[in-house]
Amino acid sequence: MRIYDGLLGWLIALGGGGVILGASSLPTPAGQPYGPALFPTLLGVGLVVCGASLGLAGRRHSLQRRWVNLASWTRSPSRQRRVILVPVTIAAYAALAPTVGFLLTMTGVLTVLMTALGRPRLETFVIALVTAGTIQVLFGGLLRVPLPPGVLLPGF
Amino acid sequence: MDALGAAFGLVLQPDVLVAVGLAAVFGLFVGAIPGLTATMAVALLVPVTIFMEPVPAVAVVVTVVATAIFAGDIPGALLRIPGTPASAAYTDDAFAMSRSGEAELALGVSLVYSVLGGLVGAVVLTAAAPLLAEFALQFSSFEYFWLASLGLTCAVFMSAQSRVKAIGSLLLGLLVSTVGLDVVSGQARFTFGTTELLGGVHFIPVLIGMFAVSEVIRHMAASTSDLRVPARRIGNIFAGVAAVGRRHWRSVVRGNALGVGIGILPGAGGDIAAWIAYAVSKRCSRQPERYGTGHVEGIVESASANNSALASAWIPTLVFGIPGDSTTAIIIGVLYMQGLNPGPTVFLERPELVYAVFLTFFLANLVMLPLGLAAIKSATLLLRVPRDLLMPIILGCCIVGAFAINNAAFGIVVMLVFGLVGFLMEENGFPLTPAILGMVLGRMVEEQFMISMIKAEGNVLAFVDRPIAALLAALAVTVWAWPAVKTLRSRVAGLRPVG
Amino acid sequence: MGGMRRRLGVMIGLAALVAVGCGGAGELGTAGWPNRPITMLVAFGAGGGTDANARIVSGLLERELGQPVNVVNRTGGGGVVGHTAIANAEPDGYTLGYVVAEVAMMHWAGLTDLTFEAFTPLAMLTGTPGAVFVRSDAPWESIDDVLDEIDRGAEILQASGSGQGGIWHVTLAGVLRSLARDPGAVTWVPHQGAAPALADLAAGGVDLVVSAPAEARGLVDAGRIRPLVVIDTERHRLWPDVPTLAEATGSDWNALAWGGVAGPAGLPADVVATLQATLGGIARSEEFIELIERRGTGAIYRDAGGFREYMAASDASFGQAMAAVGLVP
Repeated sequence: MRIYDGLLGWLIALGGGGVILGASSLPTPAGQPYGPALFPTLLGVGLVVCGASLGLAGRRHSLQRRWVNLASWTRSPSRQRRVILVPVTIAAYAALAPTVGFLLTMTGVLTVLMTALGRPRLETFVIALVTAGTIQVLFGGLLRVPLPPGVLLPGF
Repeated sequence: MDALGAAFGLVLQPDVLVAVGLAAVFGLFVGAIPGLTATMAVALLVPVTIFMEPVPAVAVVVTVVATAIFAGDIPGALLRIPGTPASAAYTDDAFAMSRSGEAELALGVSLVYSVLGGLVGAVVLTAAAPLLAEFALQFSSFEYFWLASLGLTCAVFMSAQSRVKAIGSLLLGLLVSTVGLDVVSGQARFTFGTTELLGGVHFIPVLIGMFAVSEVIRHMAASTSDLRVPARRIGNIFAGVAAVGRRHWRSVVRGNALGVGIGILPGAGGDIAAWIAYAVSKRCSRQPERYGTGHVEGIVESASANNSALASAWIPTLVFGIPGDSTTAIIIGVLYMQGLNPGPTVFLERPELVYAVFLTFFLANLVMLPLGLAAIKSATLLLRVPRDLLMPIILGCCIVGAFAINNAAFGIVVMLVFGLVGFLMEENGFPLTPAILGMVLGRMVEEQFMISMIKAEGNVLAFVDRPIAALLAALAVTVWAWPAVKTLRSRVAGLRPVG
Repeated sequence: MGGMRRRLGVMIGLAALVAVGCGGAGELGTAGWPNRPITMLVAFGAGGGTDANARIVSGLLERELGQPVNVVNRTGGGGVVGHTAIANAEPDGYTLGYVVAEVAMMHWAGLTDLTFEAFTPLAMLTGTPGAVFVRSDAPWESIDDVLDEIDRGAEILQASGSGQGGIWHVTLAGVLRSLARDPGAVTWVPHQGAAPALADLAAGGVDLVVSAPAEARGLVDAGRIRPLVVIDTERHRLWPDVPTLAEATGSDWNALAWGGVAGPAGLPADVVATLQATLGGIARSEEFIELIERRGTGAIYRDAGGFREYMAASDASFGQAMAAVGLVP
């Protein structure tokens, strides 16, 4: 998804304005001459300048007529579904893992993604389970990352 | 000399050698996984080292750090997912080399110059630790502010694309680094009332999101596996590496000097050394236009710099008890528990132990050569795994890595958000590395700026009042002004025939 | 085709093996506690003093209890994030935490509503006093000279040692207030921790640093900085010639950067009893005392009741000192 520079620049400048506005509400602490607002305000000004120059330059050489140019994947329903699956599975992991547990959730995530990429279902399930189990042993056991045990491994 | 002999006796023990070998394998493994840092690897070893003798304990820590920093290059080169922020500087070059079938050469160069850098750092540490520590004590907040500002200018040199977009990306990174408790006032900033954001946004989940998750999304969006990396064997890795070294010997020298010099400064360290080295390399190169497209020169210089910085970070640690980076902070704790109190007295009272510590640096780097080679050989096998299987597995490792940074699901959310942001940025021609640089340096720039402003009571002249500060300031201003001067000159030159 | 099937068989076998290997599960509940690994939360990063202390305790606790005790760092927000996680953990004895002095400070600063009452104290184990350091070539020979300089007011002194509202900032404020000086008479230069502050002191960036003796001893040994006074009831083991604040000025104000093991409020009584006994044993063991003291921190043991009283007193004392410098909104 490519956004026209002439539009994107002004959006960035607008964001910079938002940062300056947000920073202005930060209080200056007692006993210090400079507060937490100074640095973000400078960054906001930088974003406004940067965005504006991008916006102006974008208008000057406007080879692109449309506001937003959609990439080729957005026209294929199957590829669209695959792209959307990435954020969906990550979010699903973050939501489900604490209760369901690492092993089951990760197996599910991997199976869904590999299947979506066109691998046979049984093969993906087995590979997913082995991968999740290996991560559980290496990370959870050896590296002591406290992966959520969930319903399957309450004592691990 | 008696002390040196005794030191050899202490180091060349079977238990030390076994510990170093195991530590190298552990470090290579941890470093190669995005999201697992060298600091984390060392922290995991603390309870183990408590119950060890001083020399093996220190040797284990030294080895793990050195190998983990090198191993960060492996996923960077093979998958365009840097394992550590230090390798992010030259990931684009290394990956571009892999795509043209030179994965083994890219990694071989990185390994050999990492080892060489480590050895140079160790020599400097051994020969001149007390002397160089004096230099580190000259740096107050003013000097650090200018150093960090110089680091930021690297963003502009990093990208081959639009300069304005590179600056925009840098500003985004800096902005993200301001989230959380403000270092100066201790007040919550841009946290929107949440406890999670109070802790700020850690740059490791951002790094994983921007590079790894966006890569996975790109793979999902591609019609076929058009990002396939050919796995061409190049035969003897070292022959190719030696040829690179002959061609770019200036980069080797410069990279090591920069690494040692920046590594000594507490609060700077290997990451910053690698970025500055990359920018300097591009600046001095005869072919700056090839940087970012698979050019080996920048890899040589940065890989030398980040490993030579590791050893020199020990200089302030050993001489004054001031940690040079986050891993040496842990090491100080280990040294105290071993009854080896850092400070000048340890050089007088226990010289054999100090020399033994120095020797472990040589040992660690020598062990890294064969084991690193084995790691490269086995990691390149990854390229034969079908990408349709590899990409989901990488995503799985990323989820765990993002979680492990603070052992909270919040890290996964951060990774996801920046994965999407990174994907959109790349689609629109915004380079990603400046954003990472902004996040790595953001806190330091702001903190040193604010501390200096408070100390100077608003008097801007204080920023250039001290000699080293003035020197760094002059350097920074020259670098910033250079593109403007150049544009002006070319405009004037362009106008002349007309006018 | 046959090869493919054989490979699948191997894979399924491997998967089963992994599943069995992971499945060595125990039962839930506190009966027979502990029958699975315990998590020790630390609110500060790997490498800091708090982290090191917690790792020493965890190592010994693991040996005594016969179950792994994993240190997990939950950093951020000056300790708010980690301490909140300890207080909000399931009170089943499987999540404990290394609670430190910041608990008695951050609620005064308005960062959180969490106070020491959200925890079940188990044992106070460590504590380190602050000391005041100056550069070796500084004109002040004693804390009195520094106070005279402050009274003269010709030049405003700059001090550091922690962030704004951090423990050493509050300690300096408490000291000045107890000596009837205005705590605002010295500018506080915030640094992320004692190490960068000490480096800045040595580089001539600030005039005074307040920090724990352990972190400054390298520079003191190198003759770069001098301790003027130790803010404690007795002299410090490292420097027996340096007076205490009471000896030098008559003020008996003191504060420790204390730490100890606690759990969330409402831990079951049997778990508390077991942990109290185990931690008490560890705290009195020579091994523990030696490991802690070698780092330059003090091994200071108080049982659960004593720890609660200490936290309450510390909370009140820090609250007053913070109000004096305007750190309480």
